[in-house]
Amino acid sequence: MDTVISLIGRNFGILAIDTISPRSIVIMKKDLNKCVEIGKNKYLIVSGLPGDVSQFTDFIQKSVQLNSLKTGIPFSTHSVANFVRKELSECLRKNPVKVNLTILGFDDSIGPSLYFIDYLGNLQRMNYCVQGHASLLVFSLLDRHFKKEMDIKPAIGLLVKCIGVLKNRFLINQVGFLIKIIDSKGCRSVGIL
Amino acid sequence: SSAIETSAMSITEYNGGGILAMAGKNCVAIASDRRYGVQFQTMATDKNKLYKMHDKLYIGLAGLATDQATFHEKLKFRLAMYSLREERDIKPASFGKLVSTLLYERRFGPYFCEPVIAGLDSANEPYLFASDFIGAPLIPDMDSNGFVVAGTSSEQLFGMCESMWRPGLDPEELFETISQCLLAGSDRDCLAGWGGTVHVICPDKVITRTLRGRMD
Repeated sequence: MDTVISLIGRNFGILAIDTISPRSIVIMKKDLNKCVEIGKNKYLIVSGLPGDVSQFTDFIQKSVQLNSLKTGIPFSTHSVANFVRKELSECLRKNPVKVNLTILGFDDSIGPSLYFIDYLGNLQRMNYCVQGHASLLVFSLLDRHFKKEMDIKPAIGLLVKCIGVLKNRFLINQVGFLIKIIDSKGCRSVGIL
Repeated sequence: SSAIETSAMSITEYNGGGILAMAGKNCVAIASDRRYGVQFQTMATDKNKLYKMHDKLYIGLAGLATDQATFHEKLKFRLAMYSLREERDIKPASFGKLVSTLLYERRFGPYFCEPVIAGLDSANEPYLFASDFIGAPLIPDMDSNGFVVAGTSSEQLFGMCESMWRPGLDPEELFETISQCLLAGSDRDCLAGWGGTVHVICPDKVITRTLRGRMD
């Protein structure tokens, strides 16, 4: 089960995502990049049933791209999140797709924003979010230590704490966590913890 | 995948929440808790469950969060079409009927949300409405029990309202009463709480306040 820890800082969004691809008891790939870029300033991370994940991710990425080519207007993070929610809520009663998503984006007008959408189509905008079984271990740590408008170094320090808890107490060995940042300059990878 | 397992909870208890509305003298108040949870885990503490339809009409939706959002989007669309066609705001009584009909349209594959409507009609008389998730209406008698509740903490809220409500409350008294009922009611429900939001609808303005309750 994928772990995604994401939080909003001062004019940037940061996330840590595990890099393993497991099948049953075996780690098939240790350096998988699960972040999908939508446009230049949005990350989409989808987790759940493997087939649904790849199909839904492709569908969302290409639909958003098609729409922005058709209209000539790049989508905002809010629009993408609500578009995904609409698709999931329509799928719920027709052909259910079991995926949970995190969308992290940066818009010039409003700054960074983070949305979590679960497999039923519940959309919630949050300041910090953990996706996956790790949420049971990490959420309370974020409740305690998160402050609004953090700078990059304290935010990475907080992520280090969270990953430390997982490496200490989480049953599954998630070999490494890829750290990514989104800010006004775009998306970039910071490293692997 | 094991991440998608659900325990033996009913689908209306998946997210949790409590909504109530009360009538006063030429004013109504509607209040909800602020928890966004997934079964036993609280994900966020600032979820909005009360939606403004127009200046004198608010609806609160309890139940499954995705259906709350979908149903609200449908209502927003219908109301926009209504106000374009009719060139006026919808009357609360008509809106209550609309909600009831929209829910019954899905009788055999329902939206798992329970609406609570609070509004002031054209004579500034209070209007309250609640229904189950297939649209069976409940419009209370304003003289004897001017309150309606919905959500996982509905039983606790019923008890609180029954003992604290009385007819003829003015806006400030109404705010105090509804706040105490909401906070006490959702304290005893593990799936609701984490503060509250209250809108008091008066003929000339709407007073919105956020409550800080037991954050657990």
